[in-house]
Amino acid sequence: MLLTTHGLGIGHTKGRPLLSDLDISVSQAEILALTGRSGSGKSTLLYTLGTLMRPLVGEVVIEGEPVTTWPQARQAAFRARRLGFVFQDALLDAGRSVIDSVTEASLYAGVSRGSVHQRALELLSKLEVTDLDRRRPGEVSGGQAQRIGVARALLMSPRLVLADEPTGNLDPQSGAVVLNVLREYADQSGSGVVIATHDPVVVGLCDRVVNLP
Amino acid sequence: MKARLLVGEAVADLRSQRWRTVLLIGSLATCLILLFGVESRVVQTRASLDAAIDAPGARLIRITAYDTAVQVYPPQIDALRSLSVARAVFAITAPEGARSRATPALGDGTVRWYEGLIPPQTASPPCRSAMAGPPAAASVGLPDAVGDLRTEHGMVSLGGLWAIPRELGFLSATVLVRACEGAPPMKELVIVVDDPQHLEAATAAGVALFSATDASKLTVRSEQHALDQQRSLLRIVEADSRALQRWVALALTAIATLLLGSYVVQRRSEFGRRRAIGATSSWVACLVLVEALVSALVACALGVTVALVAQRMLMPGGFSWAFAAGAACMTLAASALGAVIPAFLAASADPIREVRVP
Repeated sequence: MLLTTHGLGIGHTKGRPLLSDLDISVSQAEILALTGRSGSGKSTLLYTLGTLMRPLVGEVVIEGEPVTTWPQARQAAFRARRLGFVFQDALLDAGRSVIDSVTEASLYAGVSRGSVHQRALELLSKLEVTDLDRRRPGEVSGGQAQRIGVARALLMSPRLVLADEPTGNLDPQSGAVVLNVLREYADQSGSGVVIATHDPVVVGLCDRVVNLP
Repeated sequence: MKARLLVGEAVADLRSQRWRTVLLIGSLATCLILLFGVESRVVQTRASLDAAIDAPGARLIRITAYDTAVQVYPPQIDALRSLSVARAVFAITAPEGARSRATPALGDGTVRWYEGLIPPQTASPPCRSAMAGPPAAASVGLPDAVGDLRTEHGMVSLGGLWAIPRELGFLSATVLVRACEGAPPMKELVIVVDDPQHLEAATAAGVALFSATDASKLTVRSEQHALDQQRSLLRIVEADSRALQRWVALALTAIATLLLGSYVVQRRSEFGRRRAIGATSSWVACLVLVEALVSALVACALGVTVALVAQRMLMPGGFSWAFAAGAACMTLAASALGAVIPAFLAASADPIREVRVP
């Protein structure tokens, strides 16, 4: 099993968990959809799985390692090498080019931007945002920015991809491109993908769905 | 490898959007280096003064004009040449008209010391555009004297504060021009000889000088402590200069803190994103520190260049690479110190807060 949680309780205030007793799992090459109404805790759960937040109770185990108990620096190194994040907003660096935004993920894994440049271009091409690599984020559309964010998440071949509404800013055609890329990535690398979404089309393409109360 | 990546990232960040930091720190570095240059000039002047006085057969004549402005007439210079005096120290009290907002200490009746080289006799044609001296001035290289006086004023003290070199140049030129254009008459010409053995020669020179001025009284006397007074003045000036350098360094640190702090606040979202995708808080802190140091390095290069050009123009011979290196080190240290709090702020950026869409 790639990811498992045991009796997970998450939330922002101790004693008032947003979600409790969560036992979820993601196996290799599986795409899991997290659904639920707004404010149900989808994003919070995603951040907890991604070691950005500590759970109130319980633990998250990724590839057999209890990542939520680690110190912050070790968690950061883990995120850099093994996790890929797609944020709700693309969060590209406004002062840098698109290619810099994509290759930024390599820095924290101790890999130079130059050595992942070719892979970044390939990913941009797969996501149908070629010829944008020298542009600044202000010169691309919201949908293009979101696809660039997906390329950044996949750059370091993470074992687990955590995507928060990855198709929220995309038209159906672009959304399908993103989902296909995520599907292909999961199938080829055996990595798991967790997607927090409202979109029934996205849910329909996932292997399994966890509906949060 | 990680350090190389960090420095590369900092340089790329600066190239993309942080040139304002470099320019501001650079301008402060320029000020610092100019101040160091002034101090270096003082040290050089003192050393050369000491050497001139201590050299066998050397003579120092101090010409003091009380209650008026000095008029360095060519006959005075000729008289000093006849005594083989290479360097003279002039005490000047500026006329009331010289008081200005930029030089408030002038015109208060205080005697201020100037030092000037006595230029060798040259065959160059005279030029009197700057000063309207007496007719005899036309036959002597007067502009040389004025120029030398202006550039040799490294130790002018303005009410205990340093003036920047440009101010010194402007000030001294103004005093000299004003003195010639309508200064009040000289009341007394005093020639002070440090070595009593030279009293006789100085008296002869004094007579020549006296006839060239409109002073009504001539006094020639020896004064053993004249040189000590001069040296003590230089020490005060040095201390003033060092105190001002400390203040500039403190200001540099404070400005670096504010500037980098404001950039960090603007870039909190960026630091949050960096942390979310794998940067450790120490990596983020180091990025801010390295950016500050790289900015300071570029700024120092800029500062040295500007200071070099400025000092060549305003205070020839006043630039010292050793002092410039000292100022550069101080700039680097101030920038690093100023980056500590911003680095801490950047490292504490909360990734959740910054990446979450409300």
